[in-house]
Amino acid sequence: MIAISARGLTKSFPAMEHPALDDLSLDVEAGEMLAITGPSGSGKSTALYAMAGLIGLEAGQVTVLGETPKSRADWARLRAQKIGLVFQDDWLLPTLTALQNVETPMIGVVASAREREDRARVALDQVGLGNHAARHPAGLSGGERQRVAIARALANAPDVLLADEPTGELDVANSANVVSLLKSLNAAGTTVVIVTHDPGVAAQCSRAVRIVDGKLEGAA
Amino acid sequence: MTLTRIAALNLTHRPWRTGLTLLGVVLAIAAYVALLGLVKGIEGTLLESFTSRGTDVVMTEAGAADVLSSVVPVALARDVAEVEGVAAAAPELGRMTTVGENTTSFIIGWPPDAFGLGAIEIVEGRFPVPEDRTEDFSGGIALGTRLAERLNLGLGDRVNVFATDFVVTGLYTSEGVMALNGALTLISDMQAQTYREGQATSIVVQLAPDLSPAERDATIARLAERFPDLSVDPTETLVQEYSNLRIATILAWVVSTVAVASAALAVLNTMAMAVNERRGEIAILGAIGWPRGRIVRLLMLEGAWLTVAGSALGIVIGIAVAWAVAWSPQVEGFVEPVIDTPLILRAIAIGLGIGLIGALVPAVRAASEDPASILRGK
Repeated sequence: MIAISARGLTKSFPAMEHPALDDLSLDVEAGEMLAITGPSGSGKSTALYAMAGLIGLEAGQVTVLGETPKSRADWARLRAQKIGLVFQDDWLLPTLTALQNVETPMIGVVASAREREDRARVALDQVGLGNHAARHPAGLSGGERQRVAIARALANAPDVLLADEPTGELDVANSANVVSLLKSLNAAGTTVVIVTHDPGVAAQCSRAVRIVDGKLEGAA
Repeated sequence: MTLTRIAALNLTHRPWRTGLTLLGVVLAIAAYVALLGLVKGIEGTLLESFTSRGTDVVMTEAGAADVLSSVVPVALARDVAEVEGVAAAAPELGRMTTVGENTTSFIIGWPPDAFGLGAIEIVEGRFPVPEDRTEDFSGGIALGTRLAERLNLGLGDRVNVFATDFVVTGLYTSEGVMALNGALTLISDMQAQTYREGQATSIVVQLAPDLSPAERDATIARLAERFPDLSVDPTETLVQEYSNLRIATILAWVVSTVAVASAALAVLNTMAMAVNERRGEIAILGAIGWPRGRIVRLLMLEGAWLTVAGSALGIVIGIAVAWAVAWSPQVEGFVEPVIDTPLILRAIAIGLGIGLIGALVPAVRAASEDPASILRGK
């Protein structure tokens, strides 16, 4: 079963000589852990953002779990309910505690405040930070912040987890922890797509593809 | 965790910026409440000063800027009293002047049989009589109890008015704060001291008590027809058209409008800066699936929090300032500010308006940004 189907994705940025995405097509199987690699500026992150509906495309179409969102609102609903996102930077809200940060995606999705809190605690336990729930991001290490960000991505129990260089800012030990966490989530049934520079991370995924100049390497 | 709580936390996390913006809102609302409360108080005091003396209609010189600058002949009062529907009429000479060393007060000169005497209560002594004018004194004077208290004067004491000495013949109370802080004397003695022999500032009229509204209007029309050189005004109209009060009202509105506009700009500036600094936070909310409307609501709530708190504090401070001004040595309790429910509701509405307008533009702009370009790296 196909979890994500990207067809003919095309996107240009004014400052770039060649298109960031040049008629790129890619399928992600449900339950797989896919690494997208490639040199800097090759378009791999742009492809990931396109799969999350975070950028407008000049051409192409993305279907996620059988749905092809048309509007910004459709994408917002899909991201809230079925897609979890992790970035290179954690982007935690500094004013909120770890627990409150994990609760934010559930606002508007889970009606009961009590249930939101309970589910956030479960997500934090899942990433091994159950005892750090009351801490603010400033009181956490880089690795811990990234794990809180992963817990936030898991808050609504997404079917698909998209991660853009999730280990890019971490040291070796924290990087290994995060990859191990993503692998365990994949093992539990979540489809995971990771954009990474790190061949070591890519090697731990079930499949890897390489994007160069906005095209899938090896594609016609 | 709710939107409201997140908005509150975002504000408390930046105490300096929040505090300074709050101050802008507080000052605007306080200025609005204090200035308009005082103007309304002046209007109320003026109106009360007539109604507490039983006056229904005031006749003044046509074209005079206000009652105190009007000149009318005393003798007209007799003719006015004969008009159908009029119960009583009396000449009145009013003057704002210094009583004692440096206390400003409103002095009214009445004939001994003025109908207004029936509306005040002499608590000690009596109303002045012609015999009070002696070699030692230019006349007698009755003081409002509050004025007497402020001047520490009692019966038989000497008090300097119009640069001459009067003797205190009585103390009175009245419903009006202006009257309590004022003084009454014989119009003849007052005319002698102010070089206004035969003159009054107005003819005050008491209408027959059993008149219907239509008969009341008809009586006023008769007066206007019979005395075309005079302006005939029911007391409410007279107060509203009082030129100094109109100027004060316009000034109060201008100052309040400038203060409110400044506060709106402060909130707009703060929200714009806050949104600019937090583009990443706003982008991540979009990325995790918050619809644009919810992001706008969050930022609007921050503006609403600021202005609700600012309005509440501003109203309290505005009331305090209005009363402090009312009891300052310059005003000396002559005016009691009127801060009623409509004024407070308007202040709250203005406060909320400031918050919503100030927050809306940056909120919509922030929520419309493309999150990808922001989230790709700090």
